[in-house]
Amino acid sequence: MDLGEKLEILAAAARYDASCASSGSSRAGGLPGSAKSGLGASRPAGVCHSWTGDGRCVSLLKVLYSNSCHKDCAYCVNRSSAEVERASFTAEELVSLTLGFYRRNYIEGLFLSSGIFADADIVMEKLVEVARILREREGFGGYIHLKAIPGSSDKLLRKAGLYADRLSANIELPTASSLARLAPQKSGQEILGAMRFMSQAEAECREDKGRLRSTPRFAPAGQSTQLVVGASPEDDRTIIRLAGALYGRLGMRRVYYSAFVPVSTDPRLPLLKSPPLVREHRLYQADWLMRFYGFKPEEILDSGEANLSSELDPKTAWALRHPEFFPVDVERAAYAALLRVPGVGVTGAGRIVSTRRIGHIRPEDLGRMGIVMKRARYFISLGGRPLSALEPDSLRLQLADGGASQASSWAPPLQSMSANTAKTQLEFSFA
Amino acid sequence: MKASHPCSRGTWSYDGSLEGLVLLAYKAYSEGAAPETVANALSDGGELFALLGPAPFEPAAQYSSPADFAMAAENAGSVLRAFSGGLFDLILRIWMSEEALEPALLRICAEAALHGPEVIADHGSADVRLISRAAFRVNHEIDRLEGLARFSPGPTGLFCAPLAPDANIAAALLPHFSRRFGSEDFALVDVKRSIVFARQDGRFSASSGDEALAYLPGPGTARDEETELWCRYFKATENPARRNPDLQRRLMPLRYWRYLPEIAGA
Repeated sequence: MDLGEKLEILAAAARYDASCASSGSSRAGGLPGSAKSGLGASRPAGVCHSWTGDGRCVSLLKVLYSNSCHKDCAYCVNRSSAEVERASFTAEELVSLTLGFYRRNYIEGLFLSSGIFADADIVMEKLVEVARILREREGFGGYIHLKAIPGSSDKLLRKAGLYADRLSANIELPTASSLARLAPQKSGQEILGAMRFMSQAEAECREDKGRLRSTPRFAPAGQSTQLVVGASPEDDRTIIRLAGALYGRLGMRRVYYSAFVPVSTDPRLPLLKSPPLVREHRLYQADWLMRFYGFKPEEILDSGEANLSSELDPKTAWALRHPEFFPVDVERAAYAALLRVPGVGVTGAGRIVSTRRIGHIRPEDLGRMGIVMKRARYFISLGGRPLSALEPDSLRLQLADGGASQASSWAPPLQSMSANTAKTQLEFSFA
Repeated sequence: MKASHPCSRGTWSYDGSLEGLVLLAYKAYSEGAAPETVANALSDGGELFALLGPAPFEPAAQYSSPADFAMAAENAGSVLRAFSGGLFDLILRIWMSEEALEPALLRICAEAALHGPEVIADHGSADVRLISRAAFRVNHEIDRLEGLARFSPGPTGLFCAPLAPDANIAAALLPHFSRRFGSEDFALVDVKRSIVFARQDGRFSASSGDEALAYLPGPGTARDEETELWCRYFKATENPARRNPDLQRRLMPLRYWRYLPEIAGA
């Protein structure tokens, strides 16, 4: 099999991993003791190098080391029972591809994962070896994202963190019971154990760096994880609470949500005509509310609903449930309160705050500042006077954002669970 | 590189260079006044030098005495001290945009003299919005091309990237690619403006005209093996269940596709 064929197989096998970010880290290339700077540098904002026909950014050479896997996870295209062509790279092939593509500005670095073709330590060792060659032999300063193979030793994970900018272990499913049903050979505790170790190692590194600046960095872009959405019956409330816990307790930098793409006819899986893309979109919106808008997970679905609305974005839905919070006076409200207004984003809120330091804000200025007035007008006031009356019932229809029109591509989870059921289903222990 | 005094009809002129625009901005700032119109010799083809009076500073090579140079340096220092980082950045971006936005920019500079540099944050001002939008477009294109520039070995083996940006941003990409290439050499060729910025043996150079285009592989040059591998990778990494070509075009506009081997001709 030639390199091109391997590349096709192992890129196609990795495309269901949503993460392709190259952000959160800053480093320059070079070899210790050499005056010459090496190829590659990463910067905190990351860079997108292309966009595929599915509209997703290509930032890293995202491939598997091998798609041979002895695990048989129902939702996975690389499961052991799948009849797909198997291939494996060698470390040198991956190094050569990464450097060649990087030099041509096709990529920002390498995202390396793998099927579990042997003992976890052996697989992890292979991934670490590629990163080691890139960093220590080639002096490569580009971005490296390595998968942390759950069950591998702390020593290997620590080594991986010294070479990689980001590490990730995919939690895959939101509850231990779903994991046991769809991926019986995976252990939730092993996945969380790897996450916990990485979180602790990152914290230790930060602490040591405070005392000694030359302390080597441990995965400076932190860790991320991914959840498959729609392959199991959990509701959005369960997923959001889990994501909140991952951010809060394990210092996760990013949780990715990947709409389940039916890749097998396994009877344990739901029958979906197409991936639940609207649901995935809503979960990302909810995720942004937690990360950038100061929302707590329990606020996002705080009225007993189990799932996010497909018609309204989560922020608008929250605003309509909380008329007592509005109108927000744009001339006086705190930045945090402005962020709660539908139609006001982080940039818009920042512009309001900076403009009102200089002078008064007129209604016509708001649209020019990037505020989406067709949404915001019902939730704000200027000088104590509301711009439009807030009538939640009629507004629901008016503020629907078209999610409903895309709903044909989205099917709700197979089983709807009550809030209480969802609570008991959050079985992963973070203690 | 020289800015004129305002003419009687309220028109100021400059030679289209960045230095010229900075001088006009300084003039607007120091006088607290702005012209009705600005003549750009590069785009208008006008007789710039006929309008010129003494400029705050001249290129160093033209100074006949140390005292002249000291005076010029002091003036240059005044220019730099006058502008906050944000305001200077706007001037730079507007020059790169090659859009005829100088009057609005100079009005902001004059306003900054009266109310302080924070006027650039006044998004209620039509001028600020106009200028901010143009600066955003320039910054956005810089960000885009940091990702979309495609390097391949040219006739001499030097890795070159052809670009055809809307704004004159090739020079602004140099710091990024210098970091990226480490100690390796590279060249950026603005095909639209026939300008090349090259780093060879660690030294930067700029040239224009046919010399610039000579850095690039000749027309009809076949794709090499690495380009083929990249194209195969790109095709394999797309998830057919999530096809969304409209989103792809929105994020990666068609005008940039010409130099992207993975998608050119699609």
